[in-house]
Amino acid sequence: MICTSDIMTKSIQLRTKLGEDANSPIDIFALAQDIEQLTIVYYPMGENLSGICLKGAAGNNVISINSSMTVGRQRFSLAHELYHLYFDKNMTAVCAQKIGVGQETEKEADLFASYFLMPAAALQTKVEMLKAKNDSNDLSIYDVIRLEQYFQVSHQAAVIRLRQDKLLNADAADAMISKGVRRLAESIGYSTELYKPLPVEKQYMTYGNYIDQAEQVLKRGLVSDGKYEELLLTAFRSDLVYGDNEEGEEIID
Amino acid sequence: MTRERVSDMSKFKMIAERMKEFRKNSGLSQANIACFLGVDQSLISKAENGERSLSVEMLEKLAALYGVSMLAFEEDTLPINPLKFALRAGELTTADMEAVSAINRIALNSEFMADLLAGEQR
Repeated sequence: MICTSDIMTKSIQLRTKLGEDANSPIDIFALAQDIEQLTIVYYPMGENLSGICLKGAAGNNVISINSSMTVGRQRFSLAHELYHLYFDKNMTAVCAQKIGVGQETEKEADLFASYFLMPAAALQTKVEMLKAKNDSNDLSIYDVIRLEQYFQVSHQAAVIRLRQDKLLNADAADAMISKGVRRLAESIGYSTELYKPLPVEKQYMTYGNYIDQAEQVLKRGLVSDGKYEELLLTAFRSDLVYGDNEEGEEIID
Repeated sequence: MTRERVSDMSKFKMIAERMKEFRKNSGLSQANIACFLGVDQSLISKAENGERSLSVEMLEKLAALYGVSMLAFEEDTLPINPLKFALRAGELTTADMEAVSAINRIALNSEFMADLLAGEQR
């Protein structure tokens, strides 16, 4: 049995541990970047997988996110993998794309991701505000878009959560869940980045601990230049080996 | 039979056994592995029975898939934490297995670098 209140508590615990308050929307990628000994790998995994979490013996951990999914979904996947990193006793997890299915731990991690990105009290407050503003008891599709944009989660993740918290009834949720919302979001003034994957050239990338480790082993003379380059190329960082291919000089402002 | 030959034989047997154990622990089928390596399933079956050997390149690919070093095929003890897939073997595609291998390679390198850095501090 999954204990929702336990998962909620864990989501707040981790927010606190990582220096976030209990209610605000978070920049989860920036947050993960600051976790010590964590390497984050963006990799286009296709249609089956959403993410992978590998815990190393000496505490060098790797989380990989399927970068061919939308940015909103990637944020959810990262929160899901953080559950595996901090609360799952298994050392490895290879996670499937469907939300809310699979083994118990997978369901727990999905629930955790939802609470981590959309804290219960904050969501409740936001919903009350929208209802008061519209003078209506029901949330419209535009309200759901406002919520997913505020918390920066995918449309699916927002609808599943709203239904689960009984803030949307089953019929309304069913009607909304498979609806394409990119154009609707645009029509009320939002950027559509949340609903798109990263550009193809940014889908393979490694950040964090690994890059730092590679610099350290080179600087201390523990590996040759060739080995250093091989290490970076395995981690898709040809930009660091062959130089930046972005145009223009750095702007310091 | 010379002594060296005996040791080669036992190494050969060991690799065959390890291949089978790694595969079973991770919940994959022989068909999954055959597909991943781009070979016939009968070759995997024979390799696991010690009747045929796989190329070093293939063993390297398998090591990356399971997230172990090449040496793990010759060691007496199995790694403590076998990789578990959240998908059923039948649903797993070659692309999925390639993704897992790519990330495992990065994780193994990270461990390798951590070992180097820890060794220097001692």
